[in-house]
Amino acid sequence: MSELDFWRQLDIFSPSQFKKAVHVIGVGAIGSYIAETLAKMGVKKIYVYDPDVVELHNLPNQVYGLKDEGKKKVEALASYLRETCGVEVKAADTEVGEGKYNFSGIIFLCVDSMAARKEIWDKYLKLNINVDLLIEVRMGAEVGRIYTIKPFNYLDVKNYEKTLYSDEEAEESPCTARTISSTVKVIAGIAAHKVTKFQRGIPYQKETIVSLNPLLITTRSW
Amino acid sequence: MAGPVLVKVGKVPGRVDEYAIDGQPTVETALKTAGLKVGKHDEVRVNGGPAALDAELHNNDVVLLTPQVKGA
Repeated sequence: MSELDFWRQLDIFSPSQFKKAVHVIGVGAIGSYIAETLAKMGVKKIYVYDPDVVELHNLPNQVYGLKDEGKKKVEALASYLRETCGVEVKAADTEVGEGKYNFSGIIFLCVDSMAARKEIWDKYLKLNINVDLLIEVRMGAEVGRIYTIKPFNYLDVKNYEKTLYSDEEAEESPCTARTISSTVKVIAGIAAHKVTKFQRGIPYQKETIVSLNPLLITTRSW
Repeated sequence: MAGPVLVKVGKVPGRVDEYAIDGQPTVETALKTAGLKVGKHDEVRVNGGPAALDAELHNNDVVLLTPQVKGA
């Protein structure tokens, strides 16, 4: 079987020199496109976690297709990435918060509630010296937030925890104005690109807020 | 005598406009000038960082109301 040829990106991201495991926790809208982008970039060790099954209302803004309806998201995603990129993804169809995992490498945290973020942060990630980078993504219909931190860095821990507002403090968009593919792909692309910066040793902003209406990106570090 | 302070003020998603505000504007006066109120899910940001309503503004500052989102 043929393999992807990455020579046009080698100065930006070199798959052969990237040995880290990348975990994508939550493969709904953002997570599924991040996993796809990582596979297209040449990341080989991808682990995905999600207990949900594919429903028809997922199809407009997630990578899944009509044939995937009713399947476990992680299984559909693994199959899709095997077919399109030749990547063998390791899949777990369980709630990460309820399991027992030893995370290392790079973590994309893409769950859909603040409570789940806090639970996973507290249980697995905070002060975990085996996790090189946490990239945590939150999204509304036309706005996204990306936090990129080292979970064992005191300043990162202190400042990141200040951003963990409660679910009640977070916006609950109307069902018909909650998510759209165009926003998802922009946010997922920016988030996945941080892996290339990690490999090249380029400084990254700790917080990135992206608005698509109006088109605006603000960043900050601490 | 110093002229008005030029600031950009807005809400995302929504719109951002530029305003010339006389005197020494604060975040609160800038939002009022723009006709914006801080909603219960909004964070106030000035030049990307969190800011209090009584923070003083300077030329070219950007005041944004950004929603606290949680989806994925």
